[in-house]
Amino acid sequence: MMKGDVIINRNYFAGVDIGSTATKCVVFDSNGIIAGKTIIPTGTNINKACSDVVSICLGSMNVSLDQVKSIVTTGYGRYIPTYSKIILPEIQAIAKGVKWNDVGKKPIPKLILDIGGHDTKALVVDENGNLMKFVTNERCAAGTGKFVENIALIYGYSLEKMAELSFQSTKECKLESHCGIFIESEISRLLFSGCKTENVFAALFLNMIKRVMSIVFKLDYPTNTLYFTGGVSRNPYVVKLLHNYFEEVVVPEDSQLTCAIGAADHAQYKAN
Amino acid sequence: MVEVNKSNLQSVEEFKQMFKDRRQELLDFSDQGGMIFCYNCMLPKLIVGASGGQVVKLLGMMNIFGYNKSIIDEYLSQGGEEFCTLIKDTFGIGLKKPYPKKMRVTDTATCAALTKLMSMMYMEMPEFGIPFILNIPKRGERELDQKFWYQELHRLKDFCEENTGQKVTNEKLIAGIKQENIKKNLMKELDLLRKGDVIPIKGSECVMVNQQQNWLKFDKYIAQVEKVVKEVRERKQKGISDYAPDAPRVLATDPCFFEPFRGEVEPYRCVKFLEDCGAAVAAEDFCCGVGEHWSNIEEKVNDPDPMATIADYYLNVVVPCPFQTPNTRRLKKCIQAIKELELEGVIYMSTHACKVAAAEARKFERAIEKETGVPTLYIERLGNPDKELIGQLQMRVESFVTMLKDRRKPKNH
Repeated sequence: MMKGDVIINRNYFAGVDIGSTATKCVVFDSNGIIAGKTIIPTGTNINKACSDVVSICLGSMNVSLDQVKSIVTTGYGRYIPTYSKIILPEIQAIAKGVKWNDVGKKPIPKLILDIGGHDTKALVVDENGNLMKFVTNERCAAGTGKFVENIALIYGYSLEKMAELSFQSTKECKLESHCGIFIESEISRLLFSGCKTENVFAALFLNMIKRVMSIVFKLDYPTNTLYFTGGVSRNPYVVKLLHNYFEEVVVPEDSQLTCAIGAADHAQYKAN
Repeated sequence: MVEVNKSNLQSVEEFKQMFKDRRQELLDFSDQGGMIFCYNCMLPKLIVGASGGQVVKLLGMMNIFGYNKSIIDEYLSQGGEEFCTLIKDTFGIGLKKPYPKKMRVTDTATCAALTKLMSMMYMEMPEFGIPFILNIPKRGERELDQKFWYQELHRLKDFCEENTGQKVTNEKLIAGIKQENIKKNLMKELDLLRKGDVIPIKGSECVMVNQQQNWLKFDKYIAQVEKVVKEVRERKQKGISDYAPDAPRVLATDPCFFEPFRGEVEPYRCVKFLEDCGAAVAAEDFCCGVGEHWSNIEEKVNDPDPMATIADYYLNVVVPCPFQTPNTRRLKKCIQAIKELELEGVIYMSTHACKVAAAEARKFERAIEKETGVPTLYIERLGNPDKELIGQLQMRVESFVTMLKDRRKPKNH
């Protein structure tokens, strides 16, 4: 140690989830507690999204990058050159993120559903949070966040408003198409035929859940409890519909940040 | 993505020149009156070989003669894009020139879409004659089916004799069986050399070596495979491995081989993609992997009816194809390979266009898990790696690879 050297306490661990829609950053302190979290739109410049989300997050905590001992990236942009020292596939990140939320509880095997912008992932983890098996949507994004988001954009509603209206639905409408484009034609047909908006939106979410459950069923894992994460888990009407299949639907706090939390947890694990 | 050892085997590299030479070989053979029989799948090639004909897969013909673009969309008013890559890429041979003068299309009626389109196409090309379609029973266990199949093979034999002017004798067939078994034994040895931590040849290279039999002259092909096996044996002894030591050992499988072959010898991209995602592909079962070359044709002393032996082999021993129900032999061979080669996972691919192949995936996955405890990742693909949703596939394969690695560890973090 030379005279004048500054001692930097590198006590922070960051997880960055670079998704198709949003980029999220979670920073843990040395106790593994969330010290900072930020979500920004990914946009077209992934490098920029990644550095922006980290600097915004650290800035909000008044912490410098030097104080971060390790960073783990996950999500579609995980190979981003700036931070690609440790990479974690997002399915593992989700498993770790859910396990982190469970600290202090009795460890049990879990069925997890994560619905993100472009992907629906269903996974089974053992009591230690190890991934046992998983299934994702195949070549089609029906049943993902974007599927609903597109409709929200077209009809000028926010996602929150769509969910709120769906709770007021009084009559069951049917939407059969799984295609994110043709579903628009079906919705228009229903609206033109006099179906109420709330009934149509409820049908849209029902259509989405049917698609999602066909993925979950592939895991062949009977359970009464579902852990639900990803951006769509913030939608209370989707949660309500999932109760038709599960007695208990657990939505962790910061559920849309689960992947980033898992990455931060992994960053801390790798650093120690 | 993981950096996989790029030091290709010299003997594998030599296939490139053999492939280049094949075009002239075929033209010369045809000019001298030889008949080339083109096919897509499951053709008992040794019957054709015994008639003096040469067999080349249509996909190979398309590439050897440099037709890199499918003309299916020009031919069909609509719907061409919905067909699988194998159909697209084999569609249209003969419509563009030059091609060998003496060429016949023979095929086995496994895939109905393939058979239909081939028939439509070639009926418009009288110079090649109506394609010969070998009918294969969709269920093989009944005595009646077996008789039918035996008759069909005789029909093929007659067709070959008629076109080549040469008699298919028992002696030629027995010699063909022997040669076919030599190839199978070599390919099986290549598989077994990949057992253990040292994997001296990449899966993508193994598939490529295997596929060369579909377009190269068979005796030349076997001689080259012998060189490959020799080189791989040496690498094994020296402990040279092509994969990272911690890469999980997987079986790559697809009920139908669909990889487009773009006019040059290169590691097969679907398998290479799995390798790039960190998997050590230690065995393959496409329509021509462990399911095919881990099963020899019975060699009987003074076989009085080698046609019956061949018929029995194709219908009751091999045929690892989803068009048949039940299709248990493929599953059994995969289970055998998983146990014998101590594999840790299975990556099951099927083309988006082929619902027949997809239909078996779940059953296959469950049976594999029950019998071996090994997990399966199912991937639906378009068939052409250039058009895949690489980001999503990469995420899934990498997650699977990481999961397999985690399964080795004591259960902790």
